[in-house]
Amino acid sequence: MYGMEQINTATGFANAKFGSSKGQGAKGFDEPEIRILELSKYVIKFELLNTDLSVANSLRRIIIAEVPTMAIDLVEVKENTSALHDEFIAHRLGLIPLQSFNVDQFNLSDQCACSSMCAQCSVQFKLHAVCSDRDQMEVNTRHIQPLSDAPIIPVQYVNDKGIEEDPILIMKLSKNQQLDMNLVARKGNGKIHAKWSPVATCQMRKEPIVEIDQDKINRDLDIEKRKEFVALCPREVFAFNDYRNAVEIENSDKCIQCIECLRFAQANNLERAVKIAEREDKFVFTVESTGVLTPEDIVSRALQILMRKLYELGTQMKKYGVNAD
Amino acid sequence: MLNAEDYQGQSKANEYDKFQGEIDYEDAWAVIRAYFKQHGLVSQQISSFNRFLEMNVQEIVKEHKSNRIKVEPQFMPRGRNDRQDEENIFYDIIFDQVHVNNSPRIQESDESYSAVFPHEARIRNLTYATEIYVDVRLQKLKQIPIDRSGLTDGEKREPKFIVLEEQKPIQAFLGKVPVMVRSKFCHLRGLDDTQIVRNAKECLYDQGGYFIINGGEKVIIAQERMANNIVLVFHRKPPAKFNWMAEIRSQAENSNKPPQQFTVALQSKGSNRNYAKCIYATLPAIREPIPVAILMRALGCVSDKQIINKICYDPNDAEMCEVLKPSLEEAMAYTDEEEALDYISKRGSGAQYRREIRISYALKILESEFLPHISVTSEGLYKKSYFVGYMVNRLIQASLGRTTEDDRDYYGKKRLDMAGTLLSGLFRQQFRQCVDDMIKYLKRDIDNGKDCINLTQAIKSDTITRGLKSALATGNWGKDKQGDVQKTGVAQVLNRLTFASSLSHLRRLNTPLAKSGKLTKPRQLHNSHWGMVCPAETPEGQACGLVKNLSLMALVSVGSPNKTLIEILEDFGVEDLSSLDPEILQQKGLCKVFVNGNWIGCHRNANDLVDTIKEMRRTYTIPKEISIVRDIYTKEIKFFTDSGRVQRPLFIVENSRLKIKKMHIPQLIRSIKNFEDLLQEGLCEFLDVEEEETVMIAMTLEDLKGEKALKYSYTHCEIHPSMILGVCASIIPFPDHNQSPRNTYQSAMGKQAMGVYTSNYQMRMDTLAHVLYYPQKPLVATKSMEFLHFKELSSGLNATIAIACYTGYNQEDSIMLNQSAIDRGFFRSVFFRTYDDCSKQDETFAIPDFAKTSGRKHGDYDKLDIDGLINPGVLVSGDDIIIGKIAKMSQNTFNDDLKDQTNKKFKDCSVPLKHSESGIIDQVILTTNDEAQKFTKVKMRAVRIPQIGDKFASRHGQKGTCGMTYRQEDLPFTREGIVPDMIVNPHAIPSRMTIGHLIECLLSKVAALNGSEGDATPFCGQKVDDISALLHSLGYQRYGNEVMYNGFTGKKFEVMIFLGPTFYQRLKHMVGDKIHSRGRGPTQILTRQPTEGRSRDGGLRFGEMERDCMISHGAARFLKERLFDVSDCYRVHICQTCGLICQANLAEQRYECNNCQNTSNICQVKIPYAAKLLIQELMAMQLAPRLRTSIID
Ligand code: SF4
Ligand SMILES: [Zn+2]
Repeated sequence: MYGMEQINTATGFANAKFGSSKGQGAKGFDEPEIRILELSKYVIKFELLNTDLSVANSLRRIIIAEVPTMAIDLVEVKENTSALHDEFIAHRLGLIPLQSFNVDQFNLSDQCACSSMCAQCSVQFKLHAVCSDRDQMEVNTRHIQPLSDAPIIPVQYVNDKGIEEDPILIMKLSKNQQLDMNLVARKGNGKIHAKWSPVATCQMRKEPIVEIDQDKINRDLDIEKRKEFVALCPREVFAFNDYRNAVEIENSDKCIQCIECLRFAQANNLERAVKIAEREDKFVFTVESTGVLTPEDIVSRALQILMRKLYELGTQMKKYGVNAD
Repeated sequence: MLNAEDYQGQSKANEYDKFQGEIDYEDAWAVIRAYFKQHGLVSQQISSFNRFLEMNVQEIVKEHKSNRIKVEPQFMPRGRNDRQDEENIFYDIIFDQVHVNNSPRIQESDESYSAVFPHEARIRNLTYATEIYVDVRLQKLKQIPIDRSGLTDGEKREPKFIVLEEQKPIQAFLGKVPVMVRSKFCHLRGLDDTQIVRNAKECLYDQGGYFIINGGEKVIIAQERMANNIVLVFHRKPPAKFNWMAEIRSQAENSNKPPQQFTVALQSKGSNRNYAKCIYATLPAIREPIPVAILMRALGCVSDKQIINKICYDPNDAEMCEVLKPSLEEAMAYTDEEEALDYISKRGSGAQYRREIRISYALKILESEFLPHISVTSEGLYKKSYFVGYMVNRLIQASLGRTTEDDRDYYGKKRLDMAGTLLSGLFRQQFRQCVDDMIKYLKRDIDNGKDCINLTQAIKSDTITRGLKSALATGNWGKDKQGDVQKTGVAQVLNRLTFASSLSHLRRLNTPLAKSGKLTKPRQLHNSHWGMVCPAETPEGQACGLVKNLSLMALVSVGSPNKTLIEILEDFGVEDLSSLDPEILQQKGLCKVFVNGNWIGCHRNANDLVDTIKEMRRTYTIPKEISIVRDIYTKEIKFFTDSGRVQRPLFIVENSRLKIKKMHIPQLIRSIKNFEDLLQEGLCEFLDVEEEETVMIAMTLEDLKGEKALKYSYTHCEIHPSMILGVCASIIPFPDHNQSPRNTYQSAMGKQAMGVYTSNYQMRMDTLAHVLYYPQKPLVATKSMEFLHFKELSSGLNATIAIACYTGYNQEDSIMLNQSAIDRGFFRSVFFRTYDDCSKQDETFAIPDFAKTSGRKHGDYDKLDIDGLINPGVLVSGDDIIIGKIAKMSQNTFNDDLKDQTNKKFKDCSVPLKHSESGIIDQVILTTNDEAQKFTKVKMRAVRIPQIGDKFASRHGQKGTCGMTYRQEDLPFTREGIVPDMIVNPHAIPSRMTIGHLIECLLSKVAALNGSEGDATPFCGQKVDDISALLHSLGYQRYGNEVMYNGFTGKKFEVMIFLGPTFYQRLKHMVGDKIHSRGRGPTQILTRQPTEGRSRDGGLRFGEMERDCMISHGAARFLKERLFDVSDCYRVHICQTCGLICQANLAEQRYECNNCQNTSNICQVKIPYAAKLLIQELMAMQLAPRLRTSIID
């Protein structure tokens, strides 16, 4: 269906093209393209090429707020003798990421055919914890027991070496305190509540362009000034070549566009020697998943949503006889 | 932070540095830490209270040691007339030792006593008080007739008594005194931290210093006043009759008489008959000013020479004698003591009597009313003449321009009455009342010839118990003779909004001055406030500058008797004034010695005396709080031992070197030594304001190293200049970079911030409480916060702030919030409200049965459990009933409600929830109070999620309400994907000049990036350049600016945006508590106008200004609608014959005026109900207001 399906998770580096809609290749752009730079269990870094800022930003916004996931939405407190009050615990439970690979099986609760709750729109859990024999006890996501066999369970993080990390701490119980709750997870998206957002961060940046007129700089500035120029950049974009005693660009991708270098150049009458800009057609994304979905899945679902939206728009336009192309 | 291990780890090579080396600021903070470890933050309250119960109570009882009753037998009609021999019989009631029970307890309903801990007292609405007892015995005396042989006429002889009978002393119950929490008489004294938390259920950080009265926590606010017994010289502007005057407010030690004002004044030039300027004195009880020479003569200085000696000291001082001359000439006619006394008495109230009586009257005034602080006996007159001489001397010196006028606002002349002092005053009053009542009671018994005299019964413990309790409960302190309250607002309910607000409340000072007074000087910050009073923390508005707060390290002296000091001074060669020849005063090297304002004598070697006494103070031979002031210019040495002087500790400097060395620090850190040891070793000492004036204090440790040290001979050094700030101002980071009023605003705002106000909040039942969900300690903190426990009980979050306009929904001091952050718990808080009720007589907690109960409220009764109380966990809202209570109606109220007459025997007294609130019942307790009534408290909780309209503030007086919330994707983002939690408008910065805000943000960014904690202690020389260099090295733009992109479009902003974390506070003002509108609703019963206020679902006031506005628009009909139709429009029927209101039966269309039998000529008018009321009230006063109607066409 989409290019994303071709990604090989194992190799990590796979290039895929997306774009089937004819509209994508409009004026001045080549076919939009995604180039995956890094892919790990929780993070994907990719480049989005040959497209407009509006598309890139829409993608960013959809990743953050419109990719549906599952999250605990309803808590029925049967027993809570802990130090924290019900609402507090409920709020914490809501923020626990649930593995939502199967979100598509579920309906949004307000769009479900059922009157209040059914297996099509909700997943039930039980949280029961008693601290009877210890002075203190930690309640974590392992205490959340699914009541159905829907594959929606709290996320269990795995570190780089593939070893399971400690489960998410919910709260602590002191001696003779107990907790007994029924939890209901529902489908939703980040627009409704941030707990349904699948990402921790979604970075989007344009690729920076840093150009210097090496000749000019290395000619017009004395060595001290050249060194000063190099040290001026907070991100070490420039390097000082000790052999040549010259300023060189080391890593322009690190540039944060702080224009310190530009200012320095201006102060030394070298306005033209430094150019700082951003590429308008290349966007670098870093999507960090909370674990609810795999990062590549988040991106592909986001694209799917974006496409559906555009398609909807297209059909609407056609209704009025406008050619959506 | 330095710890013991670091010291051990230091290289041995630096042995010298380790021991003899000078300390650095790290070490100074170790000293400060030791200070707070020992004193805490409320020791001024606690030490004052301890003093009260340990010493003052005993002293006051001793003042009334013996009370004599003369037996005056009543005539007994039948029998028992054998009492004639009781003629000269007296009874003495003697009070001795006072015993204070140091374990507060209450008597339960079953008569048993049980110890009460503060927590239980709070929960059960008890009073945390302890009993005091006094040993009292009765003596029966017989007076021996006075032996008149060998006596001349006027002479008197003391009557003699023999003891007939002496009862064994009994311990009488005097009354209950409220106990200050954490004082020496509190259960919590000496408990360790675990016991405090586990057993006493107290907050670990609570420092006490307040009382618990009927379950409420009460603080006694220190009261500021002018010091007594101090001579002040003032100048008056020309039209005044006297343009120079020297005043003193004289009050004897331990007296509860109000201070006596005594003034000597120099006439202005050219005033009436005397062309020359004379000096006059105003005496108590004497109507006219007395020429000062006459007063001196009356005091025994008959010759002019003597007078000149005592006033001018040096008879060769021609200039001074010249000023005095007219005064001497004026008194020439009155040459001796008797004539002078006669002159005085003629101007008193004894003018009409015989000369001898008059003279003795004047003498009496001079002895006991005049300058009572010197003496109230006849021996003191000679000393008093010296003192008058001294005052006149000061007066003339000032008038000649040799000295300047005194400053009324100088803090050295102010005294603070702390809890102990105030309670002593009250106790003295109550105890006297108690003794008077006792004597009255006993006298009746004795006169009636009762045999057994019961002292226990005669001493009514209620007087003291109730007197103290009610004063603390209401804050109305002391009653004068007419029974009017003297001071109000002395005791206040302890503010428990935030931990810092409680602390600050416990260190508050009040100046009881008319708040309306437009005099600005007493409100201004004075130089002498340095280190004693916080320069930033004061309220705005009426009380500005009158309500102050103690600086962090300031203490208040508790006072010690001056007797021992005077003895010591005499031992060291102070020549007593009474044996001093006035001629001696001419000598150059002579110094006058004053103790508590009283001139006791002179000394020839001031240097030696001052050095010795200082040494004694530094070695604790005399109390550390005695102050020694040497005024070289006026040749005076003043000692003060009284209570209420503010003091602060300083390092002692000798030969430009601190006496404290590096070697003293490790012991402090390891708690081997404490701050007290530093005082005892003479390394630090406490100075009060007046002594501070006579020493040379280095501001920083560096000052002692450089050239400055050679230029100035320093005697002391500040421990750290940031200690001038008070509790609330110490929370501000970089206050030294802010415009000063901003610090004042923040000091007021910090008290409204939500946080964790006490760690045992779940166990407490406070009427109102806010607790923040995930409080954080600030990324940028001051060092003082450690002592305020601000990091443990914090009141805010480190929010990522962008200073930008963005969509503009943050104009005019509003802010935009990140909705996604709010979803994740950003600035969420819980709100608790506790309702309480007790079942008094004839009342029962139950679900009302409305078949038998009248007065049903419109709330929901179904949520009550069978015991009449609601269950925890129940969702409540609106007017739901949470405590069901019925009261049996007494027979006479029975007929009130005609409808209910039949079978309703009860009245509903249930408690509904506040109608605008909703939440969940958190806790319900049922217990008994001290009157053995069933007593319940119901706590409700509600989560408050930030929303548009809620108020937030940084720590720099920058407050704002939320104007918009945006989801994460809509907010501006950086290339790293960082999105702000809050967007603040840039216009908040330039005009307010809160540079500290920006530096805090910058340092917070550094702290967040490298995982450290930023130090923002003021006066530490932190440089912005250093911070920005750090930020640069961490890979960010130097000044915290970042390139950001529009969240809606993804476009880059033209400018970079200042972005970084800043510690923000959520303030208690929330829209949810304020939102209010009304279509129709309840009206007042009396006027039928709409009620006022949200809590009564009232209308919104259409006030004068709004009225004016409508008039100027000419919107007459609208105006009528607002003020009349929509308010209290009322229809009445008027008889057009007589113009009075008459009967109307609308249903039957019958109208009748009973007055004039008129049934047809009646018209209907609409008038405000208030007007109808007025008409009827006038009618009740026999006035007939007639309404004349006519038809307008
Ligand atoms: S703009 Fe800033 S980050 Fe980019 S190269 Fe210049 S100095 Fe370095
Ligand atoms: Zn009539």
